[in-house]
Amino acid sequence: MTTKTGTPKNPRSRRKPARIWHLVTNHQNMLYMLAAGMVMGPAGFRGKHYSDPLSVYPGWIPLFRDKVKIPADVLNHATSERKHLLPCIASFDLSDLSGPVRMLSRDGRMRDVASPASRKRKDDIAILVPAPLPPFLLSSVSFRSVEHREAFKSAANDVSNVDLVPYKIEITEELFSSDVEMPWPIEQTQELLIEDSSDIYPALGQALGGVLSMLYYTANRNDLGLATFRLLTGSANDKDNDLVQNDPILAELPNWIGEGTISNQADVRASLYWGVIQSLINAQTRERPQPPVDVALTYLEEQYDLLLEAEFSPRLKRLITDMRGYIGLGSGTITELLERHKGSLSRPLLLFCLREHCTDLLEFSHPLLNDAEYLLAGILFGVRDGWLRLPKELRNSEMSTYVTFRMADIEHRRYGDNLIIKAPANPKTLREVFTLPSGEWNCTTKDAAIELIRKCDWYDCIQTRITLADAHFPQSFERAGLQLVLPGRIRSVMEEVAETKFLQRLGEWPPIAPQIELEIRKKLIDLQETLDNTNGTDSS
Amino acid sequence: MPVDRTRRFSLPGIHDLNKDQDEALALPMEGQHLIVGGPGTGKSVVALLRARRLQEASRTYGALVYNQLLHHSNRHLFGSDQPFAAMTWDRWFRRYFKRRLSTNVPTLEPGYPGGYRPIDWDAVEQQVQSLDNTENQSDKFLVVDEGQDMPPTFYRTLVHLGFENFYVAADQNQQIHPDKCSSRQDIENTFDIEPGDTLELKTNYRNTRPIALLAQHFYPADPASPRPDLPDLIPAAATPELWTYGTTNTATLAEIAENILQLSDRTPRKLIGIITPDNKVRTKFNDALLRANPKLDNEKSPIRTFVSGQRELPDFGQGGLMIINAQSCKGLEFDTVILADIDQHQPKRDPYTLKARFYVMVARSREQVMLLRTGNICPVVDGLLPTDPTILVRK
Repeated sequence: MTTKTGTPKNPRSRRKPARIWHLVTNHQNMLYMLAAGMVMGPAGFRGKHYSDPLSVYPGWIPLFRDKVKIPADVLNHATSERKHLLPCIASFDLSDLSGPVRMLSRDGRMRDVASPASRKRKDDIAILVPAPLPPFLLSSVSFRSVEHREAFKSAANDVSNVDLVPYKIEITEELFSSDVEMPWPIEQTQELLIEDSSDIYPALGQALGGVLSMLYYTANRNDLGLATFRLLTGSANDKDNDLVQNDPILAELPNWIGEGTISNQADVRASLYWGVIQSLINAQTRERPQPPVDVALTYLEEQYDLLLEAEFSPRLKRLITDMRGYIGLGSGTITELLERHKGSLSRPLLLFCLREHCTDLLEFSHPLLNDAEYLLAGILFGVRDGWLRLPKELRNSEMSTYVTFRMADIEHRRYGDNLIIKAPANPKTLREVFTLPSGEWNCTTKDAAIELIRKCDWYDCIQTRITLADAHFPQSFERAGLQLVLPGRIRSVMEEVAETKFLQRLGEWPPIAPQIELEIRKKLIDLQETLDNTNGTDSS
Repeated sequence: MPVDRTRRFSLPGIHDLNKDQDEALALPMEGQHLIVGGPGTGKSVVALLRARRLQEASRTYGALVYNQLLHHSNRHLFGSDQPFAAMTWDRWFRRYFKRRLSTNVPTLEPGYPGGYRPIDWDAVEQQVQSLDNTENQSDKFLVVDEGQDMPPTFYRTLVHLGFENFYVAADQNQQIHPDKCSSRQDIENTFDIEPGDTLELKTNYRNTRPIALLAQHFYPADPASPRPDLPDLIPAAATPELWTYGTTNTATLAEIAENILQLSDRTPRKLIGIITPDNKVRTKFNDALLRANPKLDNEKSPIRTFVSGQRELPDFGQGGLMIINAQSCKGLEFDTVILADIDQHQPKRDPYTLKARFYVMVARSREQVMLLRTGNICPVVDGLLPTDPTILVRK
C-alpha cells in the first residue's frame, strides 16, 4: 500500500536527471539531524548516533537511487542497534546541489563522478555525498506505517529543538518492502577511498548557526543589530558597514566569518574576543570538551601571560577574577559588575558567565549595556549553544532554511570539497521589513503595522494626530469620559503609528507568535501586490 | 517594575536525552513498564514526558508520586500552562477506593490522637480479593514516579482491580521506608515483567558534569544498582565550591547571607536550594537571610522554607531561595544547591550513611553546588570531601 500525501509526481522525462535520493536511517537519528540542522556523519551526534548506513562511510552520506529497491540489509542496519528504533527514509531533492560525489555500485566499487546528475550505470545503487547536507533539501521523510509516523511525531514532541512543521512526513510502504539481497555494509573497497578523518564534529557550522540565529533575533532590537545581520547575509549597504565599523571588535566580524581570522590591524580587545570565540569552537571538536566558560577563562589566562601591553594587563586580570568570582558565591550585583568593567570585550564576557543560553540573553536587558556589547554577547552565546541547542522559538522557518544552508556551506568550504548548494533567499527580519530604504513608511507598511499592533495589543504604538482648522491652538481642552473636546474646528483626525515605539516593540522578547508574524508578512506581500497592480507596476 | 522570577519550563533537547531514555520514552502506551535508575538519571523526566504524551493523546491517566512536596515540584516541571492529572498516590488511592467500592479505605490507628491514619493494606487486599467481578480498566493509564516508595500490596491491589497499564519509575536504593516499600523484584513479579525487560537508566541526566563528578565522589560503595555514568558536558558548568565562614580571615555568616542574596539577585529566575542538616541550622540561615540587606539590583529574593508536615507548600515555579532540611530533599530539583554547615551532618559514626546523604544532597542540583562549613573542625566530614581541586574548589 502506498499512502502518499503532498505533491503529485512529475511526468517522467528521459532527459531529466534523477533528483530524488534516499538516505536510510532510523527515526531517532532523523530527529537528531533535524535538531542539528545538518544531515551528517556519526561524529556530529556526540555519541548519540545509532548505527545506520551513515556509520559505514563516516563523513559521507550514502544516498540510494530512487526507483531502485533499497536492499533489505540496509533497512535492517538502520534499526539494528536498539529495539525501539523505527526505519525511516529521508528523501532528498538534489536539484540544487552540484559538485563531485562518489558513485557506489552493488559490488562495492566506487568511482568519482562530477555531480549527482552524472550518468549512472546499471549497477550503480547509491551516491556518497560529503557531509553535511542542510535539511531544507529534504523532499520528504517516509515511514512504513501510520504507527511509525505517529511514534516519530510523538518523539519530536517530547523535545524542545525539533520542529517538524517545515517537513513532509509520509507513509510510503513500498520504499520499505524490499526483497533485494545485497551484502551490507559493503566492505571491499571503501577503506581505499574513505579516510577515518573524514568525519569530524561540525563545530564551525554549528557555531555559525547559533550566531546567525542570535543575530537574526537581535537585529529586531536596533539599527546596529540590523546592520550586522545584513552584513553577514550579504545584503548590507554603506550605512550598515559604517555602523558596524564603529566598534573595533564588531568590525572584525566579517573578516572572521569570511576568512576565519581577523585583520592584522585589529586591536588587542578584538584579538582577545575573537580568540575566545575560536577557542570555543576548537574545544567543540574534542571528544570531551571543557565547559565553555572554562575554555574562555583558560584562553584569557594564557593571553594574560603573553600580553605585552602593560596598560591592558590589569584590566584583563580584573576581568578574569570577576568572571571566576561571579560564577559562584562572589559578592556584587550585575550593575556593580558592569560599572566596574566597561567596553565591548569585558561586558559580553561577563554576561557569558552570568547567563547560560541564548534565550536567557534575549530576555536580559540592562541600561548600562550598549548595542555593540549586547550583540557581541549574542555572538558568544550563539557559539556556545550552536544551532543544535536552540529551541524551536529561535528557529524561524525562513531563517532556518537560510542558516542551515550557511552552516553546510561553511563546512564544505572549510574542507574544500567543492560541493555547491544553491543558496536560498536571504531572510528579512521584521525590523528590516518595517524599515524602508527611503526612511518613510508607505501605506502598505502602515496598514501592516496597524494590523500587527492590533494582533499584539501594542496600543501604546498608536497615536492620533488632530489637525486644527486654523493656527490658533487652544490653551486648554476638556476631557469627557473617553472623549477629548477641542474648541474650534479641526481639519482632520489621523491615526498613525509611533514608529520608534513600534520598532522597540519588535525587538522585545519573547518575539511575536510565529503565526502572527507569518500573517503579517503575507499581508505585506498582498498589500504590495495590490499597490503594484493599482499603480500598474510589476512586482516580480 | 518587579523582576520576573518565573522559572522557565523547558523540554529537554534531543541531545539531552540519552539512548536509554529514548528507549524508555518509546515504550508502548499499553502494558506494564518498569524503569529503574539512580538519582539524577532522569526517571522523573521520562515519567513526566510519558504523562505529557498521555495528556496529548487525550487518554485517561493519573500521574502518582509519593508525597505532596514531590507532587508540587513535578507540577512545575510539567509546565504550569499544561493540564496535569497528578496526585499523591495515597490520596488518589483513597479516592479511587471509595468510588469503586463505595466505602472508605480501611486504615490503621494513627501514631498519635488525631494524627494521620495510614492505609491498612492487608485489609485493602482482602476486600479487593473478595470482589465478585473485576471491572475492565484497560482504558486507564497510571504513571508512577518514585515507585519504590509504594508497598507491593498497592500494585497487587491495582492489578486485582483491573488496571493493566502501568509506567513505573523507581530506584530501589532510594526507598524512604525500606520495610514498607517495593523492591525491583516485587514490582517485576506483580507485573510479570521479565528482568531483562526492565529498563535501566544508567547515565546521570540532571547534573552538569562537575556536579556529577562531586556526586560520584560521595556515591555509596555498596549500591544495589551501579552508580550513574557521568553525563557529557553541559555548557555553562561550574566547578563546585567549598566555603568556610565564621573564622578569622573568612567571611561571617552575615556576609555569606549577603552573597547568597546577591547570587539570587544576579539570577532571579533560578531556584537556589539551601539544604541544612537540621532545624537549628535551617532557622539560623533563614534568620540570617531575612536580616541581610545587601545592595541589590532587584527587590530582595523571596526566602521560603519548608519543614516536614508543613501544610503550605513552597512555590517551585518561582526563583529565589528555599531552605530545606536534608531529610526532605529527596526527589527535589534545584538550579543551585548550597549545602549549609556540612560539618553538622549526622550520623558521624556512620560514614557510609553520611556519604549517602551527601550524595543525595549534591544530586539535587542541576547547575551549581556550593558547600559551606563553619570553623568547627570535623574530621569525619572533612575526610569525606574530595581533595582534588578539579572536583571541589576551596574558596
